[in-house]
Amino acid sequence: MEKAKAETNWVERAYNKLTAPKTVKYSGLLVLVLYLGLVSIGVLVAAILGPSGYSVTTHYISALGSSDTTPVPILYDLACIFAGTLTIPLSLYLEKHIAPIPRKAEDLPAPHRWSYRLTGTGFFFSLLGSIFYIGVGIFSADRGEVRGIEMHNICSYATFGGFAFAALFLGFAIIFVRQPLIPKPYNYPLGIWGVVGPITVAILNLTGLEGVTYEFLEWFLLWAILAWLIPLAIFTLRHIERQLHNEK
Amino acid sequence: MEQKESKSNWVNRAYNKLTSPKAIKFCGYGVMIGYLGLLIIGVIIAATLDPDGYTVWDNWISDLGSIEHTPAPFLYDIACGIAGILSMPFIFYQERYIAPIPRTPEDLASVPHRMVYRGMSLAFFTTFLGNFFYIFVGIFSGDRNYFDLHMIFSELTFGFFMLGTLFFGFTLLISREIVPRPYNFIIGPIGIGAPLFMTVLNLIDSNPLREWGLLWSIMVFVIPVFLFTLRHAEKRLHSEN
Repeated sequence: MEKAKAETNWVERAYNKLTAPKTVKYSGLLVLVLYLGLVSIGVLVAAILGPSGYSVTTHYISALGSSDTTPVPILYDLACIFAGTLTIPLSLYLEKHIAPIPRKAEDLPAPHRWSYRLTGTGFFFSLLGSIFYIGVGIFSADRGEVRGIEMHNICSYATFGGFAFAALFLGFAIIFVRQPLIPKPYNYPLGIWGVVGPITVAILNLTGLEGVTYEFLEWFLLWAILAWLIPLAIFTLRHIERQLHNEK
Repeated sequence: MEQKESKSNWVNRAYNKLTSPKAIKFCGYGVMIGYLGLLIIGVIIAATLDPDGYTVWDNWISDLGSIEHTPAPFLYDIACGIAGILSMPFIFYQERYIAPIPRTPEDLASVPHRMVYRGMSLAFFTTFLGNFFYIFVGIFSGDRNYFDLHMIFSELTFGFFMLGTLFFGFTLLISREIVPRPYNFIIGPIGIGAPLFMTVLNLIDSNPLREWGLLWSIMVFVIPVFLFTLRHAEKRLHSEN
């Protein structure tokens, strides 16, 4: 009955589709290629063709989405929208597999309570980061202010904050909780970086660091998040490949 | 095996003690009488004995912990400590019964939706931090406001309590445990809306009455939830006996 009910419920059907290994595999590969590709090309184009040149030490990331800095601001806008959209299935998949909810006797034993606490909270912040990253692309530097509200800045802060807190909670989860995605001993360095790295750099962005420009600190925060997310995405893709292999 | 393992683990034993109906009953009555009693007595003493009078529209809540406004500032300091410490078992208890983790095949019939786990996890962290920082509001009271710590802890406490009621209110809307229907449809929206609205008002332009308003908006949600939790604990105690 439970299964029948789940099958008739469109939310459950959408959730199952979204967290299917194939969906997550394609969204994971796409986000890695498209986001990194578009950002790299965006930086190169801005550096070579931008009227004032572009450098990570003198320009904020957002300047990549401004026609004052680059002839193709759309590259970064698209990168944000792709990254925000395509990371959502990845977050759902991580939550589903790190903290699975038993529905049948075969699913028992259930994970520890801390699995649900950490992964549920990590998922929320990750979703927040993804949604606001789409907002960063929509309200780019060229369209940053809407009726006096600084939408670009709000979305940027929420994105960085969301991803930094997601890394903190998910980092704790992969260190302390038994999970099938990141094998030991890789979970320790990756988890510790997730806990410490992005949040430290986020704090440095708020306090400032002598001798380092705020522009570079912002780029450094992005790299700190990527240094956490890329290995996590690769381990998740590895897990998906195994799942798909088992299905065959 | 599960039971044996849980008995041998001191963390699990402490968790079970902390979330036992008896502990909840003790903490519930303790916080209701201790916190509300001390807060009300503190306001009455300040209003009658403060040389320039104490009113909720002219004086901040923190003035209750300052010797300049009341001859008994320790009352509010102790109230903060009591509320922060005695409310902690509540959030563990509420999480345990609203988002139970199935351990046996019999438990599988009552496994909630994943949204309940998500909402409860967020409510757990935010409320726990709100309680934790509230203890420090009492320690670094108006009289011991070193390095502006009183302000910092007050803002953290209010901020986390507001988020806690927001997530908890949302979870109550989609769960039938502890706060039964139709009460959850009344209390849930209050938790989501009232403290958030008052926080926004305080961020736009803060004054003493608005700060008191924020405290009351949190209490309007927390007190009924406390009473329903005590009712749940009483029922469990009754069924245990």
